[in-house]
Amino acid sequence: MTVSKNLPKSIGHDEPKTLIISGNYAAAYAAKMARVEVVAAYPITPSTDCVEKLAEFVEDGVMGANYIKVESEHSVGAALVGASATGARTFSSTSAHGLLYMAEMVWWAALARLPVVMSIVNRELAPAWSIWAQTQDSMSLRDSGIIQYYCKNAQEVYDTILMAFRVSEHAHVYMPSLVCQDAYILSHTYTPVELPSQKEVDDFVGTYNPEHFILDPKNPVTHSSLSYPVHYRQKRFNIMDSTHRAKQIIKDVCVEFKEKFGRFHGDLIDIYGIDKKTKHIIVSHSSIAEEIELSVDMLKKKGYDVGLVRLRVLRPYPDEEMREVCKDAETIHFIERAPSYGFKGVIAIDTMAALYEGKNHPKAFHHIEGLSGMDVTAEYAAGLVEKDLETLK
Amino acid sequence: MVTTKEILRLPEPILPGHAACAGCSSSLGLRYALKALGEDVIMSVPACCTSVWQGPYPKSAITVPVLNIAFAAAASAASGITAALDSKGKKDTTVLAWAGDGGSVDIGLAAISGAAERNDNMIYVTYSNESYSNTGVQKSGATPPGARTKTTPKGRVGFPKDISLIMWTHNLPYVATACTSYPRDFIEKLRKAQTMDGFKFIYLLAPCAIGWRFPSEKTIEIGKLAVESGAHILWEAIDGDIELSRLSKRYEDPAKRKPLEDYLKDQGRYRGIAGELLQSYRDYIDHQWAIITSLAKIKQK
Repeated sequence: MTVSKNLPKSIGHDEPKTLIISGNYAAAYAAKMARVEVVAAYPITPSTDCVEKLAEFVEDGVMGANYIKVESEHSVGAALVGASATGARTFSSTSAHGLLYMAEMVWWAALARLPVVMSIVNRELAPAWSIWAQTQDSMSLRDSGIIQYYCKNAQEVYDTILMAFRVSEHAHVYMPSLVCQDAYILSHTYTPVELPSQKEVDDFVGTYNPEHFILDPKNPVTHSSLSYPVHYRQKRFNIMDSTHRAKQIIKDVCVEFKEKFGRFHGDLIDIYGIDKKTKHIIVSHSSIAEEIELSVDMLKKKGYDVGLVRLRVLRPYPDEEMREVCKDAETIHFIERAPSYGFKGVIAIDTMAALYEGKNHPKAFHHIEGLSGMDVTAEYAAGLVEKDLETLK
Repeated sequence: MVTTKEILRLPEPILPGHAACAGCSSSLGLRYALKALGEDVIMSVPACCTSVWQGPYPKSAITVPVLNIAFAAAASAASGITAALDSKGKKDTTVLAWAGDGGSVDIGLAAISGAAERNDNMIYVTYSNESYSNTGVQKSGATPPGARTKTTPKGRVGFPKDISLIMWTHNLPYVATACTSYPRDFIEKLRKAQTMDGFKFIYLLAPCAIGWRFPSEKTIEIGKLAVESGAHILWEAIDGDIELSRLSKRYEDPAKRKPLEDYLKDQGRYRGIAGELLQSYRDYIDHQWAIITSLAKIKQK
């Protein structure tokens, strides 16, 4: 990757260091060190800490971004679309109602193929008002084409934002990304986060320079004009192809990240305690999955042949990977925060659709847990799986 | 004052073969706007007539780069373009948000107000056909009293909102009204706006043959009558100081205005509209003149 000499400022990270910071701050540091050029933001609990930190960086002169304090999340999305189409690297952070208010623009960024990256703090939707963790906000945008990562800790949030820019800005992808973390459990919990040096980040992330489609009076192009079905269809097939291609690119970028920084959080999926013949597989996501790693240890001690798959990327969905992991499984246990009202959990629906195309169809157990951020402890999750297995005896 | 000859000699920014209706004044308006602003322009266009008549992919009749964007988002997308240009050090490019009245006074109001309050560097033109013409002529917040639309089949009741005055309360460097029948006035105003930093707003009355139901060859005539009858007041405000434009100054005296009937007689949307509804249009016009002339007496400096 070549790094342009005219990059916006990111001062104060000459050496790698470890900071004790929240998930929100981890996202802000990642955006700063990725040398984001345009930030547009509107406050919403619990993602405000991220955009406040960015404002502090900009006003302190250590981050060279243009920061637009817009009047709504819809305008956040529109401003980022405008800026990204003009060739700027763009970033924001929002949550829950903010993301839904922006939904039209999330679809716009995706269908316009603009590599906007946002940190999403997953929060319940009103009514009733609730500010605690749940993933329906971003999962309701599942079909828009936007790439969705679900992180289990603040380090993963930081690392994934750097990787998300690489993937989104890849010439074979050009799709936006949401990097999601659970409200409070990650967004407001302070943990050690290792930050590389600015130079290492520059070398890894590179620059965004989509010369062929930016808005430039010297080479005028029209974005998103009326398209007749034959062209419209082609554009949508291109998105289908690109989002499928993104799977391999995410995998490659995760490997490159591991080689460069020594950290690996899984790629499309993150597996724990699984070998080729694991009989009982738990599928979960986000911070719940980190807790369930302990459940796996407990269940293994009791003699259960159990392992965990954390769905790290919801879209593009890792169907082949999931079939491979589950190819000898007898049971599959979904423990997830997001219901699709009238059916099952969002992750269960997608996973079962993926397994349908394989030869092995394990018996499935469904658990919607952790609504409104309620604690899912290791013991509790282990108990759920034990009870599932007892019903088979 | 720019001469007609000079306007004619400027390069044509709108290519032939576009999809506007016969007698469309929004395409005429954009032709003048881009002649005035030159080639170093990036446009933000929300859902509106211009998003259709520019032509379907892969062709376009507009010779400058255009970002088509959602209905509510012309101003906020333009803010993003401005921020990106600034981050690239491109200070000379003019960002033009070009939106209809529905996209400005109704669904886009929060975004335009936000961009104005931030004083983001752009020229925002509301070209107003006083209805949702592109969706088949429904009532917008800019539809004048008495006008028939498909959602006000018996004539619009009540007063419209005046987006120009709403913008004026945002303490902007430049606010003006114009009309597509007076290209020299419009071009002068755009060129003035282009020399200023910050958020500049122009409300452009754009008579619509389809929506207002008049013969398409009468577009210019109808626009002139809007001004001559006093129904549309041309004014500008530099740093908040409102001045009547030369073309409207003489109509400050109601005796000099042409009868409102002259303006309305060829418009099908007003056919058969009389009594209270017509009176409410007269009241609205008086009300607007009273506000504009009083505000013109307040000098900021």
